[in-house]
Amino acid sequence: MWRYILKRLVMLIPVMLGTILVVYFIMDLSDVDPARVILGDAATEETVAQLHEELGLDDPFLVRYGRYIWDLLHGDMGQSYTYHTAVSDQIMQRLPNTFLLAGTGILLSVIIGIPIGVLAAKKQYSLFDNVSMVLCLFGAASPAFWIGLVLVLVFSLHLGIFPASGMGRGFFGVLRSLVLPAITLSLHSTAMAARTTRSSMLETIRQDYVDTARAKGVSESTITVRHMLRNALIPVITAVGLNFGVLLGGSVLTETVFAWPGIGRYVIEAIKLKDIPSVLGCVVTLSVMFTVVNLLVDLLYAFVDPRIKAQYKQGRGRAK
Amino acid sequence: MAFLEIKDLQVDYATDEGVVHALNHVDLELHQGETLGLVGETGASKTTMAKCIMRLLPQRTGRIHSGKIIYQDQDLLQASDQEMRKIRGAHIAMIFQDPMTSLNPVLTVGEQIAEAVENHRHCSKAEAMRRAEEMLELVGIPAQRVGEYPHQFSGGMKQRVVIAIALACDPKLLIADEPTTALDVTIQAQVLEMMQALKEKLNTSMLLITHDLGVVAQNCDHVAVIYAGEIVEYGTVRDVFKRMSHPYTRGLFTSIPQVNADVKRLIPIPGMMPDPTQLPAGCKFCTRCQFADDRCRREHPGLYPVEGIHTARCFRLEKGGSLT
Repeated sequence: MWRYILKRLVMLIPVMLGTILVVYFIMDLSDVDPARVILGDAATEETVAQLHEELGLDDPFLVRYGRYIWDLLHGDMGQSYTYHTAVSDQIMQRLPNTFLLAGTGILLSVIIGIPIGVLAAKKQYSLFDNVSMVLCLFGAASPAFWIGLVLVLVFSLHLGIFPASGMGRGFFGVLRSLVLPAITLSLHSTAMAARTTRSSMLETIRQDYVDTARAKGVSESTITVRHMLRNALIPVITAVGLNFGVLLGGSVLTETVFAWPGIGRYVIEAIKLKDIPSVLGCVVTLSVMFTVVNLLVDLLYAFVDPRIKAQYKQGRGRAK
Repeated sequence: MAFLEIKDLQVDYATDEGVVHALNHVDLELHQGETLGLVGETGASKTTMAKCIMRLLPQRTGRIHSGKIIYQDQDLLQASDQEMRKIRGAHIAMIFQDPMTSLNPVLTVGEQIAEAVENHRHCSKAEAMRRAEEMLELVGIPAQRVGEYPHQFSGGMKQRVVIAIALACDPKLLIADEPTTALDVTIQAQVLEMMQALKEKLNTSMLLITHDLGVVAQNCDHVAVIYAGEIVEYGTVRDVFKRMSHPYTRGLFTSIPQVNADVKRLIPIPGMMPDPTQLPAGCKFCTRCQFADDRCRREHPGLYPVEGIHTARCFRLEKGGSLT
């Protein structure tokens, strides 16, 4: 098991190198001159050239890429062009907020989506099943920015229950301001979780071991949780795990709509201001998070299904 | 006094293609300590009968039309879900056909055996686990494998685990639905022998569902032959095997290869089981029977006595006639 984890962590390295290469390359293709961004429009040709020299901007692409990687390994993501502070500090400041939002989003989708899926499957073709599945279709299909705006319109402007934007102070302040963005963010993944749970449950409901459990005289609730849901959970974990990536992407939109001080909003700001080190730093952070979550999901499989655990132990475990 | 009595049981399945008449006015008795073999080909509703006794028919499609299943003076068909839960596992237990799929892959075999014990004896987890170990030893699996998962066992071993689950709470009646069909022949013999020994040791009655007459001959006291949801012949194994009185039972026997006779070709029963949504009006077997006449196609035969409790559903036995 530990060998498997180690192997997966080692595999993180080429993935990260590749990701950074692609992003670095795209940033390089844009005709943004960092020196001009830093110095402003009033800068003379000479000062610009001088800064080019200082920052090594005229070095070949691979040299600059190598330098960035080297600095990154030392925990240095460079200086933000706009804030004139270390990018890593900026990110560390915002990362907890993004985690809070994305975490709440995932939590909501799990505690709402899975029970809906279970109930819909248990009462297949019932009114509840039909209504909830139509709602899920709606949830999966409607874009986050639109849902966000509608929620703001109803709950902030008309009803005035929740703040429209920003992050409140104190525990309850944060909680109040968290409600709308978290719902917006989780809607899609809640719908996905519910739909996946339903279809996966429908498969396990017909399994022979469910009849075996019934023949033991076990109560229906135990059968549902212990025998059906636990077996139905693997595809659900996959769906929720993959959705975490979508959620990170979605947080860019949601954080912008709700002016939530997280990484998503930071990256949009940075792109607008052509703050290349900040953009790079954010992309690196987000992709590390995504890969780590993927690893956690794979480990969770082993926790749920002993057959997968046995595979990992034999070292035959395949990475996704 | 019978231990389990099925009276006039009629079960339908509502499907898109029409109503499937699965069981048609079935009467059957099972006595304390006896093994009753239920024989018939695929689709004869053997499993439906078993699931009906356990009240495990699919809720959406299965419908019990009429009849009673009386166990210890109680009609199981009238019992509440809660009462049924107390009976399942503790009084009546069931072994399913395919051991590959009848164990939950994410729970250890110990947990699965202990679940039944915990459920009925309301004992602690540790006690239930100890009982699980005991049961494993009883079915010939070392107790230290209690923490292993189903995928770590072979097919025959899995069926032993299934049997251990079924017997964990000392049930009075064991329903075994083709317990050896999915196993290969050498393992079949082992499992059957073990079941027979345990049955005698624990004084359990057994309803053994099979399509294998050899299994019946070796393990059963009584046998009921079922065709298209109807009992066509019933009697002690000895009587039925000695004097097969229904053309279908006969057909079953002539389609078994015999070791001691020089037979070039087996004689199969011609034709197919009738479509269960459109059963013939008269004798259900008339479409495949070499003796069938007009009356067989028109009228539905009752059960006629052959000798003692031995009965068969064929007009040829009316007025004490015989098949040949």
